[in-house]
Amino acid sequence: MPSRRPDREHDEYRDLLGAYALWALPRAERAAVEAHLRVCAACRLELVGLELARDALPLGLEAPRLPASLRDRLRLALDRELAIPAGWAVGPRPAGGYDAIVVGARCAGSPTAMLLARRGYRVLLLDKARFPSDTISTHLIQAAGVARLARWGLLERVAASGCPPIPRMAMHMAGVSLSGTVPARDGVAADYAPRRTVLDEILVDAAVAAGAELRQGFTVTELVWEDGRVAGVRGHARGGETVTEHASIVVGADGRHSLVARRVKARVYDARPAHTCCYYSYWDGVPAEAVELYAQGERAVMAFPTNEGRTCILVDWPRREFRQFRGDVEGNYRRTLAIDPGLAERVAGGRRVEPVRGTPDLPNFYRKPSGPGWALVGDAGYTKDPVTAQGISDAFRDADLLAAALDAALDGREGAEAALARHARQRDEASRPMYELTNQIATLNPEPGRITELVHALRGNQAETDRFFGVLAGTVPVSEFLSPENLRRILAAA
Amino acid sequence: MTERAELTEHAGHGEPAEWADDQLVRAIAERDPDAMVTLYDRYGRLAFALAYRILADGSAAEEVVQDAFLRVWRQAAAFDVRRGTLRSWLMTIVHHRAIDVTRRRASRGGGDVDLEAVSYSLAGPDVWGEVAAGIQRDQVRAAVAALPPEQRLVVELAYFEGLTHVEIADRTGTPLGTVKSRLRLGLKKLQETLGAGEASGTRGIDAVTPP
Repeated sequence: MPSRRPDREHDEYRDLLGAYALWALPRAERAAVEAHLRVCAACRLELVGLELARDALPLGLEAPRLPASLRDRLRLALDRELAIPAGWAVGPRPAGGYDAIVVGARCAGSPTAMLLARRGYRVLLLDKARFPSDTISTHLIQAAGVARLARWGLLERVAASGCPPIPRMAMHMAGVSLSGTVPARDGVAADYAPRRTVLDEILVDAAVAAGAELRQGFTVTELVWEDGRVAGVRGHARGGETVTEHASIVVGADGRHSLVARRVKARVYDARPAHTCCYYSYWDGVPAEAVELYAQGERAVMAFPTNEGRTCILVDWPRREFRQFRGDVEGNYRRTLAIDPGLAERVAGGRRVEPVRGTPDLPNFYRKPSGPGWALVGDAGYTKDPVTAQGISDAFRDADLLAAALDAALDGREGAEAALARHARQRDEASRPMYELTNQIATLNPEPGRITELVHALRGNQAETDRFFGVLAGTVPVSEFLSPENLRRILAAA
Repeated sequence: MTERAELTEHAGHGEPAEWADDQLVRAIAERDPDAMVTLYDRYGRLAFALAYRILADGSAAEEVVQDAFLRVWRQAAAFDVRRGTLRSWLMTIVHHRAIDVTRRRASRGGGDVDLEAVSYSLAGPDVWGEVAAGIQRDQVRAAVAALPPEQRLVVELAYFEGLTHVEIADRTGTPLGTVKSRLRLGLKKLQETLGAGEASGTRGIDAVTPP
């Protein structure tokens, strides 16, 4: 960083002007140069000349023949543009405001903010919490979500936090034990299960590194409306005064009880009754090398390794037995771990190192994810039972889809209404089969049925067992694996 | 220049092909497709040359060029002539989009570098008209060829390959400080050579006053 002595500072910034003119500076340095340019006429003048030289560079190129069809295609595209029905649109960035305000900075909000900021948009990211911050979670990032982390350049940091890759899954139900390796997708064939104190901070940091402006400990209390559309938010820092911020679009990434969703009265559809309540804690001395799944009676247990060499163990009970469970949370949690003799033995040799936490508040629903001036991402728009642990990877996928749609809308390539309708369609198409499967599994119904039949048929069929685990990990499409033809094939081979 | 000034006074008259750039951009903002096609006829070849140089792929370059012109179409209303010329804006969009494609291709991700931001450009609206009119392709090529090889290399790596100064330092095994100086000195030298060949260019630069 340049020193504070004005003449020296000037020299150092002037030295950066070439890189600045050629767009060869990272964001932070570029911002510093721009701050200097605002106060330094000499550098402004020099920059004019450098940019002139830069803009001359393409004039020296040998121009290949311009394809004749390009002019016609441009004309056609213009005709299409002129024919676009208006729909609702996003306005230009308000003066002193943002392209997007993202409410909520966890698994959906931070990646959405990061992806928009990386595309050059001005983004304000708000969260009630201060990071690092814990939250109730299944922890598991399925392999499909891990692949996104890798694409975003964040997997290394997650891996460096000390939570191990988990390439294997094991399932014990209906008297059958299956184990296998998750098939790869985009070169990734492992789940990770970082503590949320770890993961959320990495995601928030990445959004900030991309240029998003973060306000932690900030509570949004109201939306700002203008001409029937959402135009910003009102809220306050802890103990601070209420402030108003404006943006072209407000993104609700504020979880299943989303304030944004409630204020815009987002339509709920395909809701299902809550099936389970889920409680968990962390253990020392209970090594786990796979995602272990157990189902017995109306109970389910999931165990997997997380940070600090510890193992996270979750138990699911039917929602209707919640009052009974709550009567003795620690006792009931502990007793449920007897679901499998092997697990019970390992737990007996280990030590629970944190309190048992959890929630009976596990609804299943979709919300219409966008309208004039607003959009929803992650749990705010699509919430499901944690029994299949899809929440984090779903949030990552949704962030990717929504950021692409918002980019098209903010950039003007597409009408906002059309772009965001596409996001809704893609989100629902990508999630629907798993939503159905999750709701089926979450009933914790021990009666013999399609799933128990399938599990029996998978015995000894390693290739299809691996693909079954790939369904949970998101690397094998649900609809493909559970298609009638594939199921017939598996049952016939059994 | 005199001709352009006259045309500006009679904005809206005559054929789009005769309009100056700032008249064109106003017409485009009012959604006049003929003005848009005129802009394409004026700069399409230059835009394609740049996209093709960066991407080395004709169909990808076509896509970038069409995309860039459509962006001008959609955002012309927000274009501020005081912040730079239409041509500079268009070429900036072409450049950033093409670099974006190469980065995606190499799946290096966007990283830290913001490829969408429009530069804090202070080039006045008339500078380009004065300079560009006199500059021939051969002059530019001669000016680039006249750069010391080490300056030419870093300028080309930055502009045509979209590398940051740090990446250039890594790629060439040169200290970062040296890369910074060479980028600046290279552009300065280029500007001087071009300015010497076109007196009006120098005048244009000197005429710019900070806002």
